[in-house]
Amino acid sequence: MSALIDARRVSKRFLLQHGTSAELKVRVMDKLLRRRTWTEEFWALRNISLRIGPGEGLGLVGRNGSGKSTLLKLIAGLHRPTSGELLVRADLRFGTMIELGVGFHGELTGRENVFLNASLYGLSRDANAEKYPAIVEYAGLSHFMDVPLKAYSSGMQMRLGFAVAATLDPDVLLIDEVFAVGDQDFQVKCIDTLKQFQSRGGTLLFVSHAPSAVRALCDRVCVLDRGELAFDGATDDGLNFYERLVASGLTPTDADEASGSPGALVAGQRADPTAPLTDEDLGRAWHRLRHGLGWAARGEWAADLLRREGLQPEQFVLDLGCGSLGLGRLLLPYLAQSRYWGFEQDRDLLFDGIAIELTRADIDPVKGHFIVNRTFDLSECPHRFSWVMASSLFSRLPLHSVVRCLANVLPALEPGGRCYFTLYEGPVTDDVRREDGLLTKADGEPYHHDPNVLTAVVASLGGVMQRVETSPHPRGESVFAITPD
Amino acid sequence: MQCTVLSDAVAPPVYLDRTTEHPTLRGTWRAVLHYKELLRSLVARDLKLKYRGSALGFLWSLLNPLVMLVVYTVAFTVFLQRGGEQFVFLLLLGLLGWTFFATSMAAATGSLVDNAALTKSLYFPRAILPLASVFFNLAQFLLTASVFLPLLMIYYGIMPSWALLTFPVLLALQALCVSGLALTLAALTALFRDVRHLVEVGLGILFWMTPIVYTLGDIPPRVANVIAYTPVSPFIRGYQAIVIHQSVPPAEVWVAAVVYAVVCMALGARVFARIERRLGELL
Repeated sequence: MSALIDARRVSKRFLLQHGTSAELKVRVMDKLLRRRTWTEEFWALRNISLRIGPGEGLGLVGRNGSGKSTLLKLIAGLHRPTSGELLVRADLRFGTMIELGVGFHGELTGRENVFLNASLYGLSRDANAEKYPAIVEYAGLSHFMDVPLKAYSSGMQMRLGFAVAATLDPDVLLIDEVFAVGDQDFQVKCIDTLKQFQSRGGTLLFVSHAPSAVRALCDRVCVLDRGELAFDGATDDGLNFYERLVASGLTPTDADEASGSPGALVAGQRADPTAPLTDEDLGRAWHRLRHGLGWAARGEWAADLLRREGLQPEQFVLDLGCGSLGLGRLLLPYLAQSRYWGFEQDRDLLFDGIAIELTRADIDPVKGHFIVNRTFDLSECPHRFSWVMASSLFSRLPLHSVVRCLANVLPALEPGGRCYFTLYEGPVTDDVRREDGLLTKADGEPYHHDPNVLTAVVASLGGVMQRVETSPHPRGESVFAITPD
Repeated sequence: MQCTVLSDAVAPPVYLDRTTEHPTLRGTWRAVLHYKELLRSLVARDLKLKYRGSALGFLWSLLNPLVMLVVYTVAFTVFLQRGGEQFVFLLLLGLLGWTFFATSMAAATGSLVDNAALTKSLYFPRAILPLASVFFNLAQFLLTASVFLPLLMIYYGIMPSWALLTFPVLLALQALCVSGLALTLAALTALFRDVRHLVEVGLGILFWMTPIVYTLGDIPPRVANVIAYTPVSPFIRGYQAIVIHQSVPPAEVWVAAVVYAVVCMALGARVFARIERRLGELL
């Protein structure tokens, strides 16, 4: 079967002009005064090769700024590729839903807006009149068609916009996250409509962050990461790949950049790097996203658990896999001098945690101690610990690393001390689809582990492992406690 | 034999390459024709929006030229003691031709930049946007003319003749000239936002270089030779000849009008095609 769309090493470069503007005066003055202007290249897409056949449902996923919308716009002909070949069958009719209700005008009635909007999609007057009843019925707004659009709720406007686009019936439909804002019913209806479109043989290119929608509509997923095609294959595998990509935060090159000056990456992503960090900035910062969402919630959960179990300020605590100090920032003010010990394998992550999070909370890092190595070597610490907390650490460690970790931790526990850890449960034979859609693996990140295996390991190391049911983990991991025998 | 049949049946599909495809004049023209409903809708939208919700509605578009007419007439005939017998009628035709030109230029200049939201998310021939501004103003011209021209012809006792049939031809030529310039200016504004201000200044100067509040006979012949061929002059002179004198305009008016129409359209098509491929990034 010949492809409808055939991309061969397609790249797209945007030129960002610095120190100049679209104003003629400024450009002339720049030339006269020989002022420095420079152009920064930004490659939104690099070497994308992709063939899309008739009737395919292709999901494009990727983080913000990964280039998925740009790819859609290249195919739609809104932007021009910089290099490569992007072959599109000449006889194709494209339908684009990049923004719904664009061109809607509040002063015009619903009816007038429908006609205007449909003509934007290239429909003739007759075709407009023919489709109009179907559009009104689909939107379910027959009583509102003579009312100015400004009286509509935003949900009603969305419905009308989607109704126009949905009744066009093109060969290829390009959709960019358009119904992410609608309510549940609306989304269900949209997906139904798109399924019908597919059953008529239509080809669908679907940019989305919603795994459920991608799963419902796509038999193939392409994951874009910073302009490159990182994955192209079956839907489940693609979504898993994407989850791991998000869970692992940024790839090493970015972490390397960040290590040069702690916080550089956070600052660099913001419009005004000198402004104080807001919560929103931090929500996007790599050190908080490195191990997935819920940075604050996971830290608070662990602190609550320890305090409920009887943590005292004079006791020694080991924060195992302390990361960017989601727990450390809560424990450090509470504990006495030198009682907090943080262990982390990822130096950059810890340094950014210290530089950003502790500074922000006005905590002197000298109040605690930090150990960084890859081997869980805790011999630096002259004391034994009353409490060890390893929250969400084992979901990124394979079993042999977990064993090594436990083997180092158990001797560091004082008699009567406790080590808490959390993990995803699962058999060593199969991968497991979690309730929230995450797929954990017996032999790949994110890992799950068999508690029976670990119980035996802990026993052989001279400890007792027990399940803790009282405090459900924010990410749905199981909680266990180890005490020395 | 069967083999030939088969290969006919599965003729290789034709592909466009988005990297190299270039809008040809013919392709653009076809696309504009295909989207003529959009052109009509946009013009209808602007007409509706202009008068919706105002008490006087359509009367406003008559009131505006009427006020201009009164102001200039008072200024020139009462204050300056100038202006001939048919000053009001000459002035009206001058203002009609000028307003069509000037308001189209002003509206078309921002038509691409102001509609960036549309062009960023939908594919349609971009030329529709400046053309819609021209057609909107053409509609205004026709509405105003259809009310004022008969009234003044009755007032001055002018009998309609066959010469009136050349009026739509001249108007079509002006519409071509205006469309060409509208395409040029809309595209250039995407490149340099200053064009908008340059157009404002340019229109202010051009108004006085066009025989609207004066006739060519009122000014020294050497100057008149230049003024007669500024972009709007031939059209206005033509309208005045056709309606007031009920005679077909002289040959030099037609030549100038055709030259302006052809040159402006060629320029517009050229400039627009050059910039259209980059619009995605410029807007």
